Amino acid sequence: MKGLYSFVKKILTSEYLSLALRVYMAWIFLQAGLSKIPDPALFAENVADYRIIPYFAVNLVALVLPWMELICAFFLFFGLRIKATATILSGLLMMFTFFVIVNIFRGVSMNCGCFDAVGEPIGWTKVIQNTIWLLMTIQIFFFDKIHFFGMSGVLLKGRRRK
Amino acid sequence: MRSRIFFLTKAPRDITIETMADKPEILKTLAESRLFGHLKPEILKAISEIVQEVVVPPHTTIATKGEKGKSCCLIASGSVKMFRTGQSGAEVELVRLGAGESFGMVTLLSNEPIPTSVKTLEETRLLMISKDRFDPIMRDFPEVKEAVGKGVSLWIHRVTANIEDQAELRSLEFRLRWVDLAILVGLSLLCALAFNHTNPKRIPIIPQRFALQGVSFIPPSAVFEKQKKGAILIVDAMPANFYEQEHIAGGVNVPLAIFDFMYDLKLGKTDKAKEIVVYGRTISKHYDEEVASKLVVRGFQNVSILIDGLSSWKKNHYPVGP
Repeated sequence: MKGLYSFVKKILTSEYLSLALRVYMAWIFLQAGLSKIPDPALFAENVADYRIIPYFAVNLVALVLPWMELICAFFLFFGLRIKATATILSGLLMMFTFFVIVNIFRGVSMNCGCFDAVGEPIGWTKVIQNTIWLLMTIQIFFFDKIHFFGMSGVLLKGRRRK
Repeated sequence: MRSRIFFLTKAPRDITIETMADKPEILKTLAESRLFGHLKPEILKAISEIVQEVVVPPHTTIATKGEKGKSCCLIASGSVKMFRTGQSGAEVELVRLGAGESFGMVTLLSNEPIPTSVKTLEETRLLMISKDRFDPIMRDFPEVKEAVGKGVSLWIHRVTANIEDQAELRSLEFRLRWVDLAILVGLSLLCALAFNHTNPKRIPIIPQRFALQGVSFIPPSAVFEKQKKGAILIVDAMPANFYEQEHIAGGVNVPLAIFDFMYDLKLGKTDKAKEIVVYGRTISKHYDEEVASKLVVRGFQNVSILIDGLSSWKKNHYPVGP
């Protein structure tokens, strides 16, 4: 039993698992961002449907959110600013989950607007999916160690030596 | 001349090197070195008598950690790296040294094994000082021994500072920083605004408010009274899914998103003089304002907006339905 526990712990805290999750999450958010960027008006309708974002901020959110997803996808894939990227994605996923739960309790049948204009209907399946993705980003935040493009090279340049 | 040489260690190295003994050049290099630069000219001259000048090809290991050293080296030109080989076999660089700097000073002071390995990064010209021949100079000139001790001390500080820098960079690389969050958010904002500016389907950053010319506002009680008399048409401007969930009883759904289609279907044959009350707004969107404006544009002369929409209607306990 102890052996199984340590094996599971080793897998869950593995940097190679982080790398795999990074690629997977990058793919998810790449699709999410690209599907929404071309038609911001349509996505703004989706944002407004949730009835949580104030009137004056709806368009700005509809413009920036897809780009944030896209840029985070690139950063995740290339291993840049991973802590910050994982933090932003965790924040987004928590926000999406909160929005979905609020509207489930409001009893409205609506589409989530996650990946395309038609989208999937919101429901507890979407909440579970978002929670799993959230756990994945948390794993990346704590255990990612494999960087192909680190900051060291950039930071070391011009650093004065005594 | 080309010759085989035993380098810093006792182990012979298969490195072919060229020696280019040139006294004035050697004296100049010694005078410009950090290790001996501050010494008197007669001491430098004594040292120059015992140095051997060698040129080492790039990527050549000059010394290996753990072996016993035989000499110290001053770098006349080129550069070297001092490193240790980790458990995984990877080289961990401790410090890089360039012209005017020196390594192997520990060898001159003690018989301890070499603490780090040394490799050339490019073709490097070295002034080698053999321990056996340097000992008498250190005996005769105490300031030389002091200079070597100071050189060792500086070298230790340099390596320590380098290790600290690397540890700091490593920790920075795996630490959440507010500036990184700001970069990501700023970059997203910049890309979003730039793309929206050039996008044919661009939207205003802040939704535009409608002028609402020819549109009045009406309280729920007045609407209810008029509806009982059949003198009013109530239009629900919300999306169909919201309408299906709840709407004012008797209200007609003309969602903003498909206004043109629904207008023809439901209001196309309506008398333009008929009084129309529009409702439907959320915290995120004022559907009522937009639909009311569109109805005015279509020629309706008596368009109103229900004050506070469905919520005020429900507060007054007026009928709602799916």
